[in-house]
Amino acid sequence: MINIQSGIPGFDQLTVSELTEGGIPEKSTTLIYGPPKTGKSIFCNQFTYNGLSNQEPCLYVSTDQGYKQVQRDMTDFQWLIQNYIQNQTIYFIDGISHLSGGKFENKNNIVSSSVSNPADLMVKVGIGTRNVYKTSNHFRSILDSLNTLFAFNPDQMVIKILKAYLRRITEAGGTGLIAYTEGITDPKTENELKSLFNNTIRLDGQHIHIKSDHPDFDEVQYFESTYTITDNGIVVNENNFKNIN
Amino acid sequence: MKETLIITSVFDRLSGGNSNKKPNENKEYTMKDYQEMLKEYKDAEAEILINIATIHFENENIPESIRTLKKAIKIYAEIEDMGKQGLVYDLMGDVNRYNNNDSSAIENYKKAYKFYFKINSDYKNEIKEKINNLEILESAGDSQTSYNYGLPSTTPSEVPTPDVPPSDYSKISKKIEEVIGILNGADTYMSYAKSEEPMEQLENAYEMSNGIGDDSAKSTLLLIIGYVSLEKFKTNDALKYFNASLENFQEIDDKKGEAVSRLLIGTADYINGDMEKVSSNFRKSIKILRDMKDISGETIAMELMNSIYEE
Repeated sequence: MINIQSGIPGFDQLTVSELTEGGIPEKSTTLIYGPPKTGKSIFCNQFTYNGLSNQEPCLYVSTDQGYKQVQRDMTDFQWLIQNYIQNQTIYFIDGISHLSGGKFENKNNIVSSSVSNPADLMVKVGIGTRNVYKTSNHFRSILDSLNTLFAFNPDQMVIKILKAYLRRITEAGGTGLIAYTEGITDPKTENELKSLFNNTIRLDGQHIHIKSDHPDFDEVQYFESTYTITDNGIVVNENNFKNIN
Repeated sequence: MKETLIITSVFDRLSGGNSNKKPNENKEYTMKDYQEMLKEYKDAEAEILINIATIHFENENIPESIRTLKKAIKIYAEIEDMGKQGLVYDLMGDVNRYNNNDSSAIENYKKAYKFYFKINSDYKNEIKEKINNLEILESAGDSQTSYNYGLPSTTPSEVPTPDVPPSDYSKISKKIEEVIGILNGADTYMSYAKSEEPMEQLENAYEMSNGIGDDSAKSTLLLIIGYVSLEKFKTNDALKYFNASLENFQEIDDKKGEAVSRLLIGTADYINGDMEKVSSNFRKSIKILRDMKDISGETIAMELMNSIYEE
């Protein structure tokens, strides 16, 4: 199994075990979740930027913020993506600007959809997946986040959307990272949600808990540590590593 | 709350004018001043009556709403405000129209039109359109049969039959797009119909919506697929999709979707020359939109009807 760099200092070292070299398993799916304002989106953006810097294209589906805001947020951490937008290494699906009623100019690799139109969103995911796949069959895919999808659609429909999304990107060779804010749905749906992923990462503002349940391994692996959000993004503190296997 | 605010404002005026100004106790009022003040108070009284009438209407007390509006008209007649008289007749027309009393509504609108015409108001064209729409509905037998919703029609249709097949389909086509646009999210899916390979895109989206259980999108997509078929004059195919859409919308109890499906079925029936079905579907559709108090939807539906009957 090949792991890819996360781009989060300390994360790849934390996830080293007898079975893996650390990082995020390629072509796997990861749910990053936790309470609000604990760094989930920062993690997603850091992971995206690391991939782009290593010539790995990215399919980015943003349902919480418009693409301009995402770009600004990334600029705050000096993760400059304008060049990647121009050379079309990133394919951006903006699922929220349409709802605010603002004018949106679709470009080749920046397209508008709407969380209230999930079928359209998934059609655009299909087009986007084909688009990044043409550039490379190793790509990263971000969905930030499921919150707005849950707000606009019935829970079970969101689960179906997510299943379709995960199937589509993994079939094309993508590595998926999907964000979700804890408590948005009921506990039963939340458990169902977690069960759809190979890996889960929980951020609570201080601690990072990682659970990796990759089909290549017989056993589930657990890692945990503390983390800090710095001006350069998330840093996992190496002094507090715990491998609970 | 709204009532309280309005009444407060009247007492402010009675106590000497605008609440921001201190009453000028030393000012000597002329006859003209008093007449103007009186006119102002009467105008305010009529405004309050309109607000009361609106509340009666919202509480579905139609007779009281009409009675109150009539009182407002009397006041506006007294102060010779033709624009406001036109406005209140216009409102009375709306109230009657939503009470399915189309003949009274037409009468009200015609009175409103007279006033608007006299002062050359911008509203005169709007009111003319309302009159035309209602007259078409009346001639289609809407007001007599709308309460028989759901029952099979056994009487011959009174819908005017066009003399010739649709000569200007593009006009109808544009209206169909607007009708589909009533549905949430339809504008997005309509953009697929404009793409290079519309059917492929639409079918792909349909499969996706089916896969994720987005029944509303699925039904909307069926309508748009039908619309694309209609554009290619494959009317029977279009009917098949429209009927499937109607069934889906009914299953998920989406009234607006049902209304739009029926309008499109009616349009396809019209192209097929099946005028009895045209009338039945249009009537049911208008009834649904009217029951939903979807004014803009009803207007768009009527415009589609107009473009068909005026062919």
